[in-house]
Amino acid sequence: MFKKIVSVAFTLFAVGILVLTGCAQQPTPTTPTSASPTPTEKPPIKIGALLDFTGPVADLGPKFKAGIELALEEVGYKVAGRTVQLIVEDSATSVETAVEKFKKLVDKDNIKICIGPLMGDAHLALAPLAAEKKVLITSLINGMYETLQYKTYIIYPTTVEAQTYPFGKYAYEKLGYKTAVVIAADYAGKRGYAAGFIKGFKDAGGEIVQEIYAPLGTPDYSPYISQMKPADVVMYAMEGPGPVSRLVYQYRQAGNQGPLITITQDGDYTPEALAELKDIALGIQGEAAYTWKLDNPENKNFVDGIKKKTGQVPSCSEQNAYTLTKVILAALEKTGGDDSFDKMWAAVTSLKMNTPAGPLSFTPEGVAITDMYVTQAEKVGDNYELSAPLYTVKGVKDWRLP
Amino acid sequence: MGVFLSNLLNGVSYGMVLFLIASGMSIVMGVMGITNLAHGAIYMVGAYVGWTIAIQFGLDFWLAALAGGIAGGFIGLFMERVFLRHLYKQVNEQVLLTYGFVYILTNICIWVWGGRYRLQFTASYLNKSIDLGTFSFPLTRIVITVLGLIIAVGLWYLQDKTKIGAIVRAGMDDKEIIRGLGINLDVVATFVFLLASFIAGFAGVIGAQLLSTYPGLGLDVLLLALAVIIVGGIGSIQGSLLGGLLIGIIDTFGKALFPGLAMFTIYLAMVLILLVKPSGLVGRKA
Amino acid sequence: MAVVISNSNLNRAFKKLFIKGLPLGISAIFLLLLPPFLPNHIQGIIVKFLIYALFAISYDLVFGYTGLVSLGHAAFFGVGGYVVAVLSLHWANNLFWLGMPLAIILASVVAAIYGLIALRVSGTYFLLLTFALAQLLYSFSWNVRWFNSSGMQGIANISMPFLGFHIEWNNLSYYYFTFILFAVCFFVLTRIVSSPFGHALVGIRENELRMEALGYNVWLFKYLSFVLGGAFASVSGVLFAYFNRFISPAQFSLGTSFLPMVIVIIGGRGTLYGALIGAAVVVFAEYFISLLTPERWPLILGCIFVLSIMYFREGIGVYLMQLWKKVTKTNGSASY
Repeated sequence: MFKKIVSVAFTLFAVGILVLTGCAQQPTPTTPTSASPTPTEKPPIKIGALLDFTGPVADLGPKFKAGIELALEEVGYKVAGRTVQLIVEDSATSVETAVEKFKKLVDKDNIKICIGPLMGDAHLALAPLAAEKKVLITSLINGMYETLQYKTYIIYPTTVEAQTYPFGKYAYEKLGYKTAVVIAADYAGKRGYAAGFIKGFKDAGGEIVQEIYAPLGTPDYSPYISQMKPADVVMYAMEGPGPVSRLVYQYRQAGNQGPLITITQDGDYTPEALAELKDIALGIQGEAAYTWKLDNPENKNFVDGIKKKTGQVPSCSEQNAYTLTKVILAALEKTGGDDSFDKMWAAVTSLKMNTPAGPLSFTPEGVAITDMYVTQAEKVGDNYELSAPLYTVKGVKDWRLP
Repeated sequence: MGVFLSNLLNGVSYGMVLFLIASGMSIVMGVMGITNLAHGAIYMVGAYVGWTIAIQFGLDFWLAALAGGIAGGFIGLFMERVFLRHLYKQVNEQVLLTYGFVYILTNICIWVWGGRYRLQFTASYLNKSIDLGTFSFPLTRIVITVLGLIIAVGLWYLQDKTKIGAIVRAGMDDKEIIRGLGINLDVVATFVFLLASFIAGFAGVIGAQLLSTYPGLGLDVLLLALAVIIVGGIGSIQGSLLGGLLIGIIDTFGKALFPGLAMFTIYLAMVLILLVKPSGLVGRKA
Repeated sequence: MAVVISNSNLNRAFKKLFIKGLPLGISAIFLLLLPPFLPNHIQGIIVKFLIYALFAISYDLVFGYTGLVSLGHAAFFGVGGYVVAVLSLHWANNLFWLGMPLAIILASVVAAIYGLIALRVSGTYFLLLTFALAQLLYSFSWNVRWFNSSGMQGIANISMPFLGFHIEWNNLSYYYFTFILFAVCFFVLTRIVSSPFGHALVGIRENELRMEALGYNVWLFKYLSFVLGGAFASVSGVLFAYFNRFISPAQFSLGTSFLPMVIVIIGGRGTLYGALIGAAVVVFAEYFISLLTPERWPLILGCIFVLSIMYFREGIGVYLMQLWKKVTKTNGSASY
């Protein structure tokens, strides 16, 4: 009897969740203020988004979504006289799911523009498909050089190697470190980031004393920490805010006082992560493609918008999604609402605009040219925040491009 | 020498966390014939509850650990009383049921606490390191090791020296006779499962001094627990302790000596040990 | 149904055909005739459904019929997929008639080796050991550069299979291609399980000691079942790699090993059609629920697993079959 009650309760619970969340999941409403549509009104332009709401990076999905939605809200979900419909799917931090949901977006929803997914591996799996189906697809934070051959990807802010190359030079030239130990998460994406730093550091004259690659999800970094050779600085590049915190914490706990530097600090040092790390995070300089303290009008407007929407200041997740959406909207204005691939590609690659992260333009191959910054964590009153740029590199472009 | 010592100590303390994780699952497997794949998820919920008590509410760390254990116990009690007791010795059904619970518990954690990682946390007075010459050893690791030993001894005492332990051990071998003696094996079984789940939740908070807390913890910890059980054998405290320490040390030294091979060394070690001693190092006959 | 059945041989034969045939007929309609009328992206989902159904029936042989609870079946699925992936990556070769046989052979070799190791133990130890063996392949495929496309973990841009003559590959044509392979495997497996060998496997599952006493070489039967299961699994791995045009270490992971187990348990083990039903439930449920609620779908799916164990202990497929038998038994039973 009890078993029956519980089983019924379970079923009702599951169905209840399904109904509640299913109802809440209606496609984002188009502007409610429109009067009855004129007979000649064109169908809405659909933009697809592949974001991760489940899996190891599940906390980033809502951030990206907030950035996209803010950009669309700013134009009232309208562009070139047509309404915009956003269709978001969960790519579940899995390449297989990303491929499957991409096919659904393309075949069922007929999207020709897709933002995301995040995973570098998914980029490489999707690129041939997107090229075949003539869909414009964008990166979100990391861009993989290997997708360039397909001429279908818009890579923002730039390829992973190009992103960190200037920081490698900075570490040698401006911070004065002559030798470095590099520890990175062992998968292609982060190895790419590390490779950029390594090349920059070496090109400037530095010596990389040791490279350590730790498997994903390593719970205990102590064996790696204990085998680090002496060097002027340790550069770490772990797979996400959690592992970053874990490494820094364990590094310091083992008594190591030496300086640390890092990359993708704009993604790793989210407000929540900083609030937890507290003093441990201070003094570590890092490469960042964005910081919310950047001083330009677009950013002021953007930060206000995100604060109103989510109650938090933005990290690069919200910004990248926001800027990419703005890029797409600007391109659509240029093509007069024509979202076919060839027109969109030409429009995007010829764009020049100012974004919260600084000035933006594109190479013909679809790789963004943006500014890179160096930031660190700082304590402002009782809060731990990402700083304004300590250093700026203008117009970073992947050296392998003509 | 300093490097060797630091690796050894780190390996031992990491191994203790593994022991804490796996001991409950191993006992339940051996005693009740239950394969509980949600054991790691219970650990995870314990860690989250502990985090809420210790960090969000700023209360005492040990209170948080207790809360984690209670939360774990609750979930375990619910699973056992409502579902698992109908599936005695039916491995397939248990697997599917507990796997379903992993999905459910993981998603509930994302729902309530959000997907992001939580940093390691501990009591403020424990947040220091002891200087051992060439390196520092964090106090939290010592706490983990000492606690692990206390629990190991306590469980061993329960298993070998008390009446309940005797019943449990006899029940592993022959249920009929035990029942025939008028002992209510069901109550004992539920108690064992409750204890194992409590330990899992408690371990979640203790382990959170070392590991981060995140929704994927349920599955990651399950993999570690399986590794310990494979090596140490099913159903004995000694086995879980030995298995945990061995894996902790092999993993730590493996990463230190052959960083490129990482996970490979653990799984290779698992396979080799099982080839030589198929029931694990201290396990009961397969 | 108030049909009066008279006591004639012809009617009896016809009735038997009807009882056996209707489920088959309905399945045939769904599997063969419906697909062209489905929207394109749903056609993609039914391809995935068939691939996993094939993976599941290969596992059913090992798990459902022989009673070996393996948690490492993904090893053979992955090997199958990686063979065609590597052929595509390093030799730019997508000849189906080379890739498929090679995949089956290599997967069988791996299964032969793994079987020797794993079958030294039984029960939970077997579960754990098969898991460890699959994990070996997981970390191997992750770490060895040669098994990865540049810039990622895994191999991408696998070409569609070349059959020797031109085929316009799209979801629908690939579906029928998958269906042919599935049907062949299903047919062969049906013959295997209804042969004396297959019956022996069931005997081993039910009472190993007695089979030993009867003089069966139990170990050999288990071993053959294990290797055959691996061979069939590799076929589904090949189909996966071609369809998704990528493969990654995740195809060796615990999650992938769980999938056929979950499918077979939900659908009904020890009955090949159970795997089909289970695959339909799992694949379609996950897909449609994740569309409805991108954030909460694992929760719903978990509840489905829990409920199906509590309510459909034997499996949904078996339950449906029993239901069907009950319905068709209500008439004419007295006339025998």
